[in-house]
Amino acid sequence: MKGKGLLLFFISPFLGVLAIFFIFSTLNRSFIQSRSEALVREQLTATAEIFKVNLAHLLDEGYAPEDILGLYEGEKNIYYFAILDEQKSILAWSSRYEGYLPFSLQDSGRTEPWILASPLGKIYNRLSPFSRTDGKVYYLYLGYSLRSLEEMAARSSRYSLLMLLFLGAVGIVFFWGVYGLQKRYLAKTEELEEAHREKERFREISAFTSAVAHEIKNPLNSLSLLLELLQGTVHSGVKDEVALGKAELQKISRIIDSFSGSLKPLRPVKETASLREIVTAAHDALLREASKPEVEWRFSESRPVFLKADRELMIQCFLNLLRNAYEATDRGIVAVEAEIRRKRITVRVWDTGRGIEPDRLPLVFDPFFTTKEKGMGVGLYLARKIIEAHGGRIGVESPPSQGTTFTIQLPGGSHE
Amino acid sequence: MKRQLVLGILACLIAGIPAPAGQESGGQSAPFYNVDTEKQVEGTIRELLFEPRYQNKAPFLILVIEEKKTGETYRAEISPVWFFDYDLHKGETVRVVGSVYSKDDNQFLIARRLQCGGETFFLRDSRGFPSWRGGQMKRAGRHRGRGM
Repeated sequence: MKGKGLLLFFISPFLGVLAIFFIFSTLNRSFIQSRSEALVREQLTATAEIFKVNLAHLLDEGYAPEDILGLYEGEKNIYYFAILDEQKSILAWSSRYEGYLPFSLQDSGRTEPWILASPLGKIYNRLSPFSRTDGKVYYLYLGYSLRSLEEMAARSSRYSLLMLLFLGAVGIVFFWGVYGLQKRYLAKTEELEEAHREKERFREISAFTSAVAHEIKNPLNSLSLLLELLQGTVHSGVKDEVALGKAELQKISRIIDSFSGSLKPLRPVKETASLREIVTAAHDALLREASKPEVEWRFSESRPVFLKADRELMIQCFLNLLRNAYEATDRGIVAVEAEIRRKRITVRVWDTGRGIEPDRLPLVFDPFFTTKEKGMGVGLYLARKIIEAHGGRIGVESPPSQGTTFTIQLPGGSHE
Repeated sequence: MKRQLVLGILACLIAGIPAPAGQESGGQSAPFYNVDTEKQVEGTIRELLFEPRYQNKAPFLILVIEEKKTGETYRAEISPVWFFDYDLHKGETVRVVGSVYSKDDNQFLIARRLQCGGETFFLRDSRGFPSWRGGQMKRAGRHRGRGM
């Protein structure tokens, strides 16, 4: 799934959820705010009614309006209040702020509460009449702070925003993770598909090569048999030439066998084997082919390393690697080092030889790739095939003028 | 809250507690910023005074201003002394917008805006809310009482 697909299947629903949350939260907040305003209105009405009853009582008792201003003590939400006469002239007033009583003639005609903006927030204003027992009418003017309501609304907005941001962050982290997994999955799938294609191509080549080898070997066998017969019947003058021809035929046969053998799938028969024994056997076999006294041979392991492997195949593998190392080193060191970490064996086969050109490095494990005049390009290919047949991996490094190091990693290692 | 309020009122009635500290109160003659009596006065400072104006509050700066046009004298209430940190001098010309009231044959002014020496000081908002008690000017971090 790429770009557009990811947007459609993951990001769009997430954005949808965020939008729904936002709408729901906004509606909820406006509902709460309207409900709170209604409650405040009710509370102010109730407060005003209580005031009025008490004010009427005190006025009946003969108290002057200015003497009864302390009645609303403790009511911190009342910013100011005033007692007005029938003509709506202010008789007495009280305010929390110096000289602040925002009542004007324009307000005197109001029968409904009104909201006034102040630097400290909105103030809910109410002008309502009350009367003494003798029927004299007064008015009560109250200014009630909506600050706590505004603070509550602001806090609610803040929390909603925080929640939105939190959801957004969680979503981003989640989808970033999903995207990463998706990307890794795609890469892995592509890798597997590539491996599958490679395998298929190799199977076709292998089948084709086997068929060609079979077709060539039949006439070669006949030719070899013919030369065998000829050798017994020809006169002694050409016997040597016939023998040479037979040897050349056998050489061709061996080459074909080698090709065929390298293309066959490997089926390792695993047993516990000592790495030292395997490497030593490979090294001895190599020395029997050709000895190089000017090359120093080293083998080291932190503790004896044992592995579960097909002994013969592993000998073949190390023989190929060591042959490669010795051929590249005229004078210097060829070494094998081994260690185990968490049951995983790491073997380094290194030399101080000529090294490999950087542009050729990626091709060294390809079948039939060689830089040698007499080589067939099968040795390293076979070594990789053997290692992979054992569930391992092989890599190569060749920094300029520092020789070559083959690093093998194999599972199933132990010290006993 | 209603219940608390009722209890508070009853307590006040029984104990006869006077107006609480920090709460400004006034009778018929007590001045407040009345938007209906707003006026602009331009004149010369004749006197600078510091007088207590509100209960339990710092003294206020009072300017005695002689109006240019009429020659009338106004006692203009500016702001608490601590809030107004501009040097005014006798003889300076000022222009004040504020709410006017009379008391004992004297003219008083609660200033909302003061212009002096090319500067404007916003002392109260359009409905008389004092700038020194918070609000946008203070929140915006502007110079206390200093005009824009």
